[in-house]
Amino acid sequence: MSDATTSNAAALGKQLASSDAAQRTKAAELLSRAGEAAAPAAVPLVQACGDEDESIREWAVAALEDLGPPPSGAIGGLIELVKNPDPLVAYWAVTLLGRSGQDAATAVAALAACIESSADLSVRQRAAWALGKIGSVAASARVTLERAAGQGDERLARLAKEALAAIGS
Amino acid sequence: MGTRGSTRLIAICLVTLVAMPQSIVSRLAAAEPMLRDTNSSRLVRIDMAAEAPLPRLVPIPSSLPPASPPPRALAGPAAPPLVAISYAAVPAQPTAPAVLAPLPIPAPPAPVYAAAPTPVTIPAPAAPPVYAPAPAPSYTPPPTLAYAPFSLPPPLPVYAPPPTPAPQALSVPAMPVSLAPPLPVPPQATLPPPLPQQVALPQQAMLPQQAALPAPAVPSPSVLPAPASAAAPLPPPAVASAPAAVPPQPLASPQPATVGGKPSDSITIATFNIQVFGESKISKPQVVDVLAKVVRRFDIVAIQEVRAKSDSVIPQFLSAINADGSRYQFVIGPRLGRTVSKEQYTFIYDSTRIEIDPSSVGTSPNPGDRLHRPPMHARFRVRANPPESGFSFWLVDTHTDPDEVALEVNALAEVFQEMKALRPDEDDVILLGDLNAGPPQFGKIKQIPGIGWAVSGVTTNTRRSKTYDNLIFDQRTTTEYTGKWGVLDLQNTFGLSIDKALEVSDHNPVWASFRPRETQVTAGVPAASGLTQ
Repeated sequence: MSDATTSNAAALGKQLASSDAAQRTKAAELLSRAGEAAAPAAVPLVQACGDEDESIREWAVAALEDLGPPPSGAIGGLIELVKNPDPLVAYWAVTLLGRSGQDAATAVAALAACIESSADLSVRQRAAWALGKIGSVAASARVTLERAAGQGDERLARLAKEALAAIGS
Repeated sequence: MGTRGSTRLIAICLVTLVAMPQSIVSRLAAAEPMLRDTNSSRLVRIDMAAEAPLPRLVPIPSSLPPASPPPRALAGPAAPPLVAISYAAVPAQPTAPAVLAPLPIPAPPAPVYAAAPTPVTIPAPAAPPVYAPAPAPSYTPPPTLAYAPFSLPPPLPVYAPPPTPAPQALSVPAMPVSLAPPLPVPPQATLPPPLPQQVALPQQAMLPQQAALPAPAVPSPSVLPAPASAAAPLPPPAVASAPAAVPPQPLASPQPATVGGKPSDSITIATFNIQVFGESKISKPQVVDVLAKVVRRFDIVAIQEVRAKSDSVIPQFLSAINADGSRYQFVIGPRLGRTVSKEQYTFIYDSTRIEIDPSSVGTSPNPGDRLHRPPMHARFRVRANPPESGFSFWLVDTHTDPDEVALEVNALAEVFQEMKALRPDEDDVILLGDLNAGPPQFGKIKQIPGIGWAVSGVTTNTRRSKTYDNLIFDQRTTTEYTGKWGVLDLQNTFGLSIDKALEVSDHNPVWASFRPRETQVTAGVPAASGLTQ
């Protein structure tokens, strides 16, 4: 995506909600080429992970992998998406919150609830990872993390322990 | 019964026969050689196609589901019908032969091939090699006649890759089964004299040169634009920073002889992250044209980010690559990833210059589930005469999770060392791919004795902002490395705008070249030159 289109990331984000699949595909593909410049479209891109069209989902994932931390203004929208029933949407909402670090302090409760209740293991694992990235301000999630650290899944347990270490005592 | 009675009975029989429904008569006439085993009450069919001295009976299950997912013939778009190369053999009956009674049934739709304990391989001259799905997690294709003999010691039995999600059949393209004879290889280029002992390179010792890559089918194959622009400066020459640790290499090789447009005194191995390589990208002819041209420049390309639910993307791509008469083949790994968005690795290689050990292909171990997409590995060898003299090596194709780079890089260090120890007869392991990390973030990889990497000091992504792609190997053992490497800048090489280049991929291909002959390594031998440690 060139500079001209990079500046239009927010507009492309709105285009992701188009009823025209071709328009959504075009927007997602352009955003996947934008790198960190796609950050203004963080929330629409996460929503696009639930698109019925596979190619749109894949372009959206590619964009999300590269866009780095989302803007602080996107935190609220991402917290809402943590509860989304689509695992891929929830996974990427959680991931972007984790990338936000301490800026996502308001997401701690939602992430802890995600560990407790999400039916998708990859989302629970990512939520533990995200709490570790948020660090000390995620202390309220300690009990949840301690419980997760004792669960059977090796990866979830390891990530929960790492989060507890990052949160500190 | 008197004569009158006999005459009446014959008349009744004739009337009955005439009155018999035609359908029954037809079925009797068309009766298949399918019999009923009176001992087991199972139906068995005589396999008339098998040219065996004795009829071979194949049990037919009550329903005929495949014992495992059906083989995926990942051939080109116009793939010929699957032709099984293994015919069933029925174990010898311990008791007297079964009494078989004819049973008329409609003609079967196709021969039935059942799994047998001792398959008999029957050549199928016009058929592509077909890999049956291997039981998870090991991807061990059946014997195939498609490859030239790769007479290597059998793999060590101790290696057992851990379970991986959604195991997929390994695949090979629809290629003629007769491969080109081994390429004549010129005498081994002069190697640096051995050093009395291994000398560690200093940190950040720089590469001697970033070389121009010969481009097949280009009038001036040895001269390509410098792989990087001002945004991706060439590394400084190896002068004072590399004190006598590495014997000097010629900065510019003499014009090599070429075979099929490629130099005969070296092979090039590349890694290329083709962002979201799926149906959308394969449907764009101008993108596929660039991608095909990229692949044709190299002998092997390790590709990351095949993302498609369809299995046709890489076969279609192979058709485009081979449209000019090239004879590339591929192997592809399973779909990997923790979410529904999954990726596949694939190796595409020039079968006229490179052969693969089909039994070597697999997914690397992933202890502790630290790797989002565990690497795919395969063992290759340069075609040479005699074959044993060809440079053989493991390739370990990887794409790290950008959110867990530090953890994954350290896990890759373990994978690298496990691959090194996998076979005592193979000392060359090349870890390559998109690490989402530059050398400063290589973590425990940097602690591996003798380790080095080809790319340093330049960017490897299309936007020229990151050094994420690399080739990593042990410079003490992979002395076949010529010291030449490069980044194939998509924009400069193909005259593309940044938008068009990004449409191809957000990564540039990265490559390194190696001598085609195996270099015997013993204690105290010279290190591969040109690596950064």
